[in-house]
Amino acid sequence: MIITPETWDKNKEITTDIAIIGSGCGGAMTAARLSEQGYSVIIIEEGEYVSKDDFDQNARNLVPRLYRQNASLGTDDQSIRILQGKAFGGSTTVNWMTSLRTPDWVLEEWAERFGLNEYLPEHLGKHFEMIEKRLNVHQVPDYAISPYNRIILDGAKMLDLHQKVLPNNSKDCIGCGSCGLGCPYDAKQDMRLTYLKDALENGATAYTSTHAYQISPESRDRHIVKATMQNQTIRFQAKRVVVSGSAIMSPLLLQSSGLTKGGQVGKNLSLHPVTAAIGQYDSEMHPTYGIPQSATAEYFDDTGYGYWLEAPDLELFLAGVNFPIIGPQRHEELKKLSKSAVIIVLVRDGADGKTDGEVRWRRGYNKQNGRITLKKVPSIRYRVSPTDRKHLMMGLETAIKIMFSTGAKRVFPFLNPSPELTDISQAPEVHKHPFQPNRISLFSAHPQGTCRMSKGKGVVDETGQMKHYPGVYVLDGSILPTAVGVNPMISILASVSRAIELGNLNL
Amino acid sequence: MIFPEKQNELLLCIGETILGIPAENLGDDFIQEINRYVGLLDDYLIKDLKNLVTMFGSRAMVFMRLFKFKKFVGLSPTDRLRYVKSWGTSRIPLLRTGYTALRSLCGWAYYSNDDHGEELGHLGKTIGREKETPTLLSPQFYPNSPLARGDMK
Ligand SMILES: Cc1cc2nc3c(=O)[nH]c(=O)nc-3n(C[C@H](O)[C@H](O)[C@H](O)COP(=O)(O)OP(=O)(O)OC[C@H]3O[C@@H](n4cnc5c(N)ncnc54)[C@H](O)[C@@H]3O)c2cc1C
Ligand code: SF4
Repeated sequence: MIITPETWDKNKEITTDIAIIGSGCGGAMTAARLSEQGYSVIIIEEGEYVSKDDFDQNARNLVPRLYRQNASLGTDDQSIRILQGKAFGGSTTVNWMTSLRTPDWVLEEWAERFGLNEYLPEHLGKHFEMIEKRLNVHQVPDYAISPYNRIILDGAKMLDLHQKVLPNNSKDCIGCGSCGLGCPYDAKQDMRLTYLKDALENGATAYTSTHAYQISPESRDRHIVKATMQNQTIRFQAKRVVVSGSAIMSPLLLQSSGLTKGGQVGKNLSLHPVTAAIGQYDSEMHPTYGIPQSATAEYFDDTGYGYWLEAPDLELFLAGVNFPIIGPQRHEELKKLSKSAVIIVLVRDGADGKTDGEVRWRRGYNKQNGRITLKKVPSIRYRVSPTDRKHLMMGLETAIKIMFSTGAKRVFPFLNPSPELTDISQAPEVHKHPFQPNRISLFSAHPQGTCRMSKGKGVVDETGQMKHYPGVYVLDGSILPTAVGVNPMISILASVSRAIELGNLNL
Repeated sequence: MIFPEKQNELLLCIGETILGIPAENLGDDFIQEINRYVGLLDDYLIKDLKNLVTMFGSRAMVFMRLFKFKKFVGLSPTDRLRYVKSWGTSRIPLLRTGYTALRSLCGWAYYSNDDHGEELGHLGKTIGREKETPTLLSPQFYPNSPLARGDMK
């Protein structure tokens, strides 16, 4: 059953076996797994309940409805913009569908550094298979690769780089290019159409437009979650609480509930920082249409860290907001958008041993943005480490080379100010650019790691249970102990599925 | 309205300088969208953005960056651009943050309007027009697509 503000019966005291906060990858998988065993499950989702009829491809309508903070969430100094879904289905409702397994070497690193010997490739294999089947994960067929993705394959071949076609989770996708605004064709097999659907069919109830603001553990088998819908408080009493609000929101909720023993909640933020370049061609690229991210080229060094390249669909507003130059030339250049292609560079961060990032509530003076507040406000701090920075710039250089090798006439890297490059020989110049906050456009759609799973210093154990709070679980992107080095949806789903297999929430 | 009406000229002037689109073409829609979008943010962010716009337009800031005792709106177009760029490349991190915020806000306010897509060569929404737009249902754009040939659903 789905409860919305319109259908809510005003019942303010609800008892359940399991209360899950958030309906993205972590929440949906948990809800499906536990409801199929017959437990009563309630999902509390702050975002709206949305279905294909809502997805009218209109950014002004949809961005405020589907993205946290109107898609303007960012680090305190605004130097990294962080895209986060806020809707039924979480970020999967707006994501770009790339569906990759966690690389073996990453799982081996987890075992070695964090003692997670239960998460080796031989343990996760069957979870990957099960998820891929449910989400209809398949390789994008050759005929469906858009021109702006094709350049990655062609360019990387010319430059002798490792490249491949990517799999995604779609069914009868027509390549309309609106993944970022929700799929109007129900082709994207996001959580709404898969694991949330399963959970609802098994009898779970989803409270949408409902914001959970406090968790109070009373005993191992009794927890109270307070939430608001339409400014009215609802109290959920549950045997188990599962926090699945994402790597940004889960630590904030735990902190505001005072569940911070161990001092690790909110630390170790990884982002897979992203930068980009836009290239102008003589032929039509139509970057605002097509299946996003159907090809990649990648480079990882022998430590397992490095970068990979992808080409998402470019919503008009994203092009307008992020085009890297300003002044009279800007609009004229944007008029060439249909003959332009954008390549993004994603970095597996943490190459220097750890990431320098944290999510927490803060009050008083914040020197990163000059803000003084008496009230506590959320704060995201992140600095790109030297080796990650090197990988970003190497990736940017490669993206530029790929564009020129495939016929681009001019390329603008997302630097401030952006040099207008006209020849492949200029690509290495990006390394001379000062790497300071807001001198290079950086983004992230992959926050991870802020409630690290670890046998040592971490927030949760291998079953997802908080080390200091029995009965409270965290199951979402925040438990991944390091950045995964691939788009993280499948990694999150598989890790959550495995955590449940290992502990079943101790029920 | 989040920004007082007397700041409309300033907002248009910032938009014109950053986006390279004449203020008259930005029009009321630009102002309304800035107000609507900012109004949907959390209170502390609204306050930040209001302070930013006021500070950006002020004589004191212009003087500090260009040594000209004028408000931003009183500058020549060349000086306006120089001023905005000086924020973007400043050694003071806060000014660069301000630059990023203003660029994003202006970019959003203009390009989130679907009516402006055509100027960029965007062929419009696909819903109900799947065969006319570059989707896999269109033989013109994807000649090898079985969906376009009707071999599949
Ligand atoms: C634009 C975009 C494109 C992406 N593309 C890809 C891709 O191609 N491939 C890939 O693998 N990954 C992609 N990702 C990332 C992927 O979608 C996420 O990593 C994944 O969905 C994270 O899962 P999660 O469970 O941690 O959180 P989310 O999916 O973000 O879900 C968290 C949910 O919890 C809700 N919530 C938070 N706090 C509360 C609260 N206090 N009360 C109630 N509800 C709350 C939120 O509203 C949200 O709906 C993309 C993400 C974005 C934003
Ligand atoms: S590209 Fe495919 S999956 Fe994405 S919104 Fe369009 S039809 Fe849906």
